[in-house]
Amino acid sequence: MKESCDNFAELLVDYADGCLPAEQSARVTDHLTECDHCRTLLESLQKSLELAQVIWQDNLSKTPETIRIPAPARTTQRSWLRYVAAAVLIVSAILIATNMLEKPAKHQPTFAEIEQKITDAGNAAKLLAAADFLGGYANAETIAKQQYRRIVETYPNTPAADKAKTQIE
Amino acid sequence: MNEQIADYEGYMDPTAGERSSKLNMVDIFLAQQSRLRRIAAGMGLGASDVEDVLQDVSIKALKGPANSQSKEQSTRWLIRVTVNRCLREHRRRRTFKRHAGEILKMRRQGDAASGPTAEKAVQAEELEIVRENLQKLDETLLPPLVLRYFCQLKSNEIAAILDLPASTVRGRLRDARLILAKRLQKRGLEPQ
Ligand SMILES: [Zn+2]
Repeated sequence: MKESCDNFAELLVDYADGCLPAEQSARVTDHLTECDHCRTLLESLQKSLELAQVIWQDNLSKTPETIRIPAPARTTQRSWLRYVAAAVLIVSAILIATNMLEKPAKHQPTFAEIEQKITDAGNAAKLLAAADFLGGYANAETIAKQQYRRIVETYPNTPAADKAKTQIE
Repeated sequence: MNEQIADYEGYMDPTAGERSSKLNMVDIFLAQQSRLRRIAAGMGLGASDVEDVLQDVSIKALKGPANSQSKEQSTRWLIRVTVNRCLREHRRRRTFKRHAGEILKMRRQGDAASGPTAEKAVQAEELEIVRENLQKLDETLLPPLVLRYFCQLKSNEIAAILDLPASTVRGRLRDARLILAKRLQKRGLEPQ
């Protein structure tokens, strides 16, 4: 008896959903008339789904109906900021590391020079992010290539320029 | 910075030429937004997490799938991205935060015609059992369950979205339903 009930358990889900073929459905109905165990399981299947739907619906009611979709420009700006932040971190780390390694340095960069390098790296990174973004669009490859060239020419000594070079070669 | 944006906007101008596939992805996102929101809510995410997830998905839509696809494929891709993104949140956070008592309270506020108190007490306990078990449900089982019974998708559609054989999806749906039912049943049988 137990084994046959186990077999019916699987069918009961489809039976509860009303998607069993007629023949199987009739078999389940027959079994249900003589099996309390499966009848209770069927009730639990139906009830647990109803309760799950109450929970889902409740959770849905708390969520905002529409979300703000970032405008393309905003997305670009965001990724630029990320690149800038990353570039500043990288450049600072490199400068700190070189300062630490070469204690009796031939040339200690002044604060203004460091600041200029960070600004250049940041600007170049912004342009690179924009060019990469444009590069993802069919037909915008030419504009993207122009941007890469501009980065290499305007900010030659930056990590972004190195990356830009790989894009035009 | 501004001239870059201008370049980009000029390119995106629909009058400048044919609308790009990226824009179409955003259109598909907008058309599917309420379904995606349903998925995120069904996976138990809180309001702000739902918003974060959908924002992320919209950015992904803007960037588009790796290769351009049909509308159906793009829709599936968006749903899959949303499910995966929700799973990440689901793993990290406590989901289905509102307890049964609160859910019922909110429902009572929205619905003047409610049953007797004794019936409500039973319902609250059962509701809490299901809530806890949805929260604990294996992450392979929750997405098909939500897609099938909250988003009303068919199991073969779910299979295509989750990139699984249809038989696997059907098996997971059965497992999920039986787990929820049996745990509800088990608790009902326990002495109070
Ligand atoms: Zn039975």
